[in-house]
Amino acid sequence: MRESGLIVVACQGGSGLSFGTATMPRPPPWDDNNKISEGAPMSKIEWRVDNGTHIVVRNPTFSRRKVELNGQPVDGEWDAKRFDFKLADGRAADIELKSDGLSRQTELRVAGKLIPDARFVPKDLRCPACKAEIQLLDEFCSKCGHELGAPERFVYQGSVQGATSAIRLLAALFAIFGVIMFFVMGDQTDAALKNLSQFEDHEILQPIDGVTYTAGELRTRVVWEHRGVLIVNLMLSAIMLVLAWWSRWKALPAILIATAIYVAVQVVSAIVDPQTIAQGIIIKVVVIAVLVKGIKGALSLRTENG
Amino acid sequence: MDSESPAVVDCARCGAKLRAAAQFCARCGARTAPAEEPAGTDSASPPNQGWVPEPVQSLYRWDELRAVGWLYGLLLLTSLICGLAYSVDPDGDFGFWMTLVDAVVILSFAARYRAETVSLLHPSTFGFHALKMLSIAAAVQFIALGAVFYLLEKTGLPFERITDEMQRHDYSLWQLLTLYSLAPAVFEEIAFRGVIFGRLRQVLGDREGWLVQAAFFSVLHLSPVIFPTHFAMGLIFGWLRMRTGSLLPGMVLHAAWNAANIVLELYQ
Repeated sequence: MRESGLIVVACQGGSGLSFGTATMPRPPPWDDNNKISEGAPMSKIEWRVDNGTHIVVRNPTFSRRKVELNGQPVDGEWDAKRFDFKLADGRAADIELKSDGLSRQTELRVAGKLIPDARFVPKDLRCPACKAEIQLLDEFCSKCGHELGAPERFVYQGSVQGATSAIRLLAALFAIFGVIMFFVMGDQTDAALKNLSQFEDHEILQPIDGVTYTAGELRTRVVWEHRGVLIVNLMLSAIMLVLAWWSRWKALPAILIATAIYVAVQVVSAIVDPQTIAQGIIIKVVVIAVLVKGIKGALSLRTENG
Repeated sequence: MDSESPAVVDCARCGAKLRAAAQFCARCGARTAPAEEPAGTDSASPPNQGWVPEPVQSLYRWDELRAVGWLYGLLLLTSLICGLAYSVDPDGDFGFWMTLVDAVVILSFAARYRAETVSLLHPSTFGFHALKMLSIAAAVQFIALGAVFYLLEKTGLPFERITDEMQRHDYSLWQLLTLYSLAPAVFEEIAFRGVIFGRLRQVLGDREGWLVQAAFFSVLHLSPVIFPTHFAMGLIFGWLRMRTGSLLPGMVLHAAWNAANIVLELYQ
């Protein structure tokens, strides 16, 4: 049997079954039937606020930034990266350029509400309950009264979808890595078993890491080390697939668990082979950033829905 | 005169312009037209009438998740450092130091949520009801999970043996029981069923918080082969925590399970 001590097992990581370091590219933005999957170029960002309001910010490389409302340039001045203007119906709007160490964002607010840009919003907006046509700024369906939430929900949904795609990709990578490593390690295992074949099962061998094994025990370990790579990676792949499926209903707990597993896998890989700490570090950071963004998005959606 | 065209009116509640043929205000959700409902229902009080969205508290909830992330991350970091130290010096005795560092980390988080932790550790929470729940949980854990581990061992899957530590570092049985039975039971229960579950249930609710803390508990053991069994253990300890409102029954069961494994290894 096996005890359940964190301390014990964690310290044994160096001699336990190993698993692979998964690396993956950043997932594409939310891709649904009626979504725009290609990101808007940084030089042009557009918002479809409602049927009669289409706003575009153009940022040409060698000239001044321009704001267009329904194809017409808007008069006004940029003041500390902020542009205030009024829509045709008199609603106050502002565009603000925000940046931190990692990213730049251009935010549009209409009557104080953050409006997600066209990358995040489906072209054909429908009420999820009755399928009636709705507008981006609607917080309730005007036909059935279904609560829709604030417009920024589309940004959060995009983050959650990105995290779910990352989990699916991790599932695929674990499976592929497991199969490849199983075949790559085959020769090493055969060589080790060939060396051990000169000993009888009951013969006691030199201690390894301070522990004494019989030849039979060591043979079993070598065989299981080989099978273990495949079993562990397929198991991780299956867990990730289940989490990706579960995230359709319960995004927050699913992404939390997937993140915890991914980070733990990196730690185990680092213990087994310290060189893996530096391998693909940027991609690892990107994966974790996508997952954390998904957690934040799922948390905001959950909070919004009570 | 076109009497058929709908007149543009404002919502009686929020004053927003209503769309033609709208049944509800798109801004506040108030009903604008009488509902076609079966006789006997109260059409005068529609579901959204009078409902005002509460201000969201996502920042507060994010703080709770961040605390979980910090604790989980620090425990992983100590495991990583200990694991790397073992890979440099396989004969080194890092188990004690790792237990100590983990204890300091966990107790500092427990101190941050001391009111909650103290109430979970109060002896008065371990009464007859807790004893009854502990008996049920112990029966399930020792019979069901004992059978699973027995079957896993029958497949020939090599498990790390705790008693190898005795061989490596000349530990006495009492040292081994303190370091690998009592200490993990006390500190892991405070960490997972105390701090982490306490935070998660505020964000996710009881059921999802229970599942996630069990998943974190199994993942932090850093051995994928035992993920499913330790997930089940996390569920059992979490169930005890929910049913008794105490960490003490979970600590007793956890320590008993660890001690039983050590004793079994010694007799095998």
